[in-house]
Amino acid sequence: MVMLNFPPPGFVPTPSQIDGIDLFKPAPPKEKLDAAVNFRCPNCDGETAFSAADGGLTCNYCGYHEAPEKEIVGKSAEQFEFTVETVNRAAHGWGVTRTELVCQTCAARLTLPEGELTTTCPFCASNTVVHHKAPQDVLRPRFLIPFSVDQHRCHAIARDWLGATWLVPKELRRVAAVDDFTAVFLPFWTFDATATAQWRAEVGHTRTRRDSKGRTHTETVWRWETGDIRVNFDDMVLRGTERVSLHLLDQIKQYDLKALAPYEPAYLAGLHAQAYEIGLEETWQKARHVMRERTKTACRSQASTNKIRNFSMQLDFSDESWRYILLPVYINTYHYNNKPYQLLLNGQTGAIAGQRPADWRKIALVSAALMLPSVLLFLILLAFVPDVAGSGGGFLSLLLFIAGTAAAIFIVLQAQKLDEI
Amino acid sequence: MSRIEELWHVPWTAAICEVCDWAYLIPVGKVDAICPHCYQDTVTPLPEDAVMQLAAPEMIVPFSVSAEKVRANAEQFAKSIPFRPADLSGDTLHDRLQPVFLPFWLVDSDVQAVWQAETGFDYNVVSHEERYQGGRWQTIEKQETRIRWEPRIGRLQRHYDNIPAPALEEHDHLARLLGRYDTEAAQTYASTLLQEALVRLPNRNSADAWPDAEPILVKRAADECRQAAAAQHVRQFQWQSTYADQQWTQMLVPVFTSFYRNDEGQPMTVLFNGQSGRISGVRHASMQRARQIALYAGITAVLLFVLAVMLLVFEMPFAGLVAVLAAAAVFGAIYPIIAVAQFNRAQRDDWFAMQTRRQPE
Repeated sequence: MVMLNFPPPGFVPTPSQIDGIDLFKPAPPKEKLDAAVNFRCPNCDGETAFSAADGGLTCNYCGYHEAPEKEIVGKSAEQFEFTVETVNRAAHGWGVTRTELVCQTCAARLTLPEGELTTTCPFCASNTVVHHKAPQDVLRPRFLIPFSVDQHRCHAIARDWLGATWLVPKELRRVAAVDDFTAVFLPFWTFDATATAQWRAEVGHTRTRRDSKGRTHTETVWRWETGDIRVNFDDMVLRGTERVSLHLLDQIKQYDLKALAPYEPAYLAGLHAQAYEIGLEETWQKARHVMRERTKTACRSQASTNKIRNFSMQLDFSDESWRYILLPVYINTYHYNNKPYQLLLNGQTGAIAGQRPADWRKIALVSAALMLPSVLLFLILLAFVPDVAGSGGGFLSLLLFIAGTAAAIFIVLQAQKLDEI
Repeated sequence: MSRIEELWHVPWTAAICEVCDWAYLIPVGKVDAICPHCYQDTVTPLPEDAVMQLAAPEMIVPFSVSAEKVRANAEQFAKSIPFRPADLSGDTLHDRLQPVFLPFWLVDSDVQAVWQAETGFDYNVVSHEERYQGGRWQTIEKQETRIRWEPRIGRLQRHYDNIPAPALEEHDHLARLLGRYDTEAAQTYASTLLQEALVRLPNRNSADAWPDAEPILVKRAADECRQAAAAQHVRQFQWQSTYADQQWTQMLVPVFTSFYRNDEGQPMTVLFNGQSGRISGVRHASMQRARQIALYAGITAVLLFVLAVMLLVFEMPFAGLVAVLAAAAVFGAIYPIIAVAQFNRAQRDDWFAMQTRRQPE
């Protein structure tokens, strides 16, 4: 061990508990998030905003563009353990007090909608991203997936999607105001764990035997079986927000976590971000529930038959870790006949989900049209065939009626799903 | 006044056993005593200039084991030997106890170093265990302690006192026999602490002992660096060090020696740790005694065999029973010989036995 320069670069002094021993530790990473970041254009002093097209910053006024400095860490993004400290803090409701921020440009105190991390100051129009220094910052997002779908594409995707089914009013594609999508980073949790389980159950085996009179009997013989299994769960994603419909979110949440990048204020410039509302402990409990049910299914699949009774198992979680991440979503609410409909669009893949109004008049006509042939056929048969019930035509009419009714019911159910939330 | 008397404050002199080469400080009047190690009458005076370290020791671990414990251990030792020699009993071992002090080097040193290590900090994580039975899940929360390792580097400028190092060539063997000493009980040297004990002189110089002392010093320094970092663990400790102002002194630890004589009348040394009472020595079963018992059993077997034959010839009852007894007596005649031979073979002919039997050149 030869140290010509002492301390070597990257080490800083740290207090020592013993006289005569000097101590140095690696310098902590520079805390970029503590300072407010002002996204002003160096040319015109206008506001700059994150550009989904290439991940850089673009001035909304003079068109100045600042190239992106993208660092993608993907699935190797650091994960955190469930330390006692973390769990205790989570139990005391982190994040709920993030309501007051200070503008670093004009010192105005801003009361933000609860849960928002970013805003534009209404007094000086500063597009400043400000962050708490409060202890709950421990649970601030460390990683995010930047937007890669831009606003213009959202409009096109939404238009196509609205017109993609005949069940909606014809003019919907034209009249729905889907130009104004709001880009929002929504909070999500990811969980990793390994589940090691041992199971024991009685497994039934079917046996056939003949009695003395030659009759065949089938009986089930129950035998105890045991087994063990190890299941790895990698990046199970669960939402941390209650503001958005779970039904809609589930349809668009297929994100590619290989695009995870370390949190940088630039990614949030001009956009909105929501802090989590569903805490770590609560979400981890939900994740564990999913994990243990999947492990149980895997255990049961090890049994030699699928006839199982008195099943018991013991499961031990290890290597548990979590991440608090932000994922990009576009949100739009349009009105049709004075009723609001919500749209969600995956800011990474462009997948879209949302509510659409059904054109019930059109649906009623189509349903009637589907049943009409059977009715007409029945009337014709009534008029010209003496024994309708005994004729093949009567049977055909009945079949057509059943098929038409089934098709109509299917269409109505599909239409009902259109505005589910 | 001799130099020894001047430094140790006791009227003692140096002596050496010509058979086993153990050198001692002994009271001037006991130069003609027998060697407490090999029990030969071969102790002769040793010139002062031949003594490696004349200075009095810095520390002494005093005799602290109780007489009852020593006697009980001696009894236990004697009982552990089948067909033990006639000379071996708890009483004889106890009556022949000779207190002796064995030396350790103690080195004090100033150290300057640049070091690096990984320091470990304990932290607790929350984990879960789930049990499924009767269609219900039961969740058990548990905590596990894990270690977070972080690199640390530093400079060290410290003084270390009393790093122990072996002062005898046969240290490892003695340590194996006698076990560990609690050096926390060591007291500053006073001539009164010597009492009637002989003092073994070092046969290993400080330069030879330093390679044994240095790892202990490194371990102590690593532990201090761990404390400096307020960590619970340390690993991969490396340093680049310079030593200065080294002072070598001695520490004495207590031993009782005793002996018993085997069939040939040779003394077999037994050692007691003077602090813990742990006993160690060559266990030697008596073949002489085994043969004697075998002879009696053999004669009995012959007599029983003759009796069985006579009972058979005269068609009297119990011939079979007597024949079985004769066979048992034959076994009784063979067993002691085999048992003693196997026991003696199983005992390691260790260093002490070899030293004791070594003949003068």
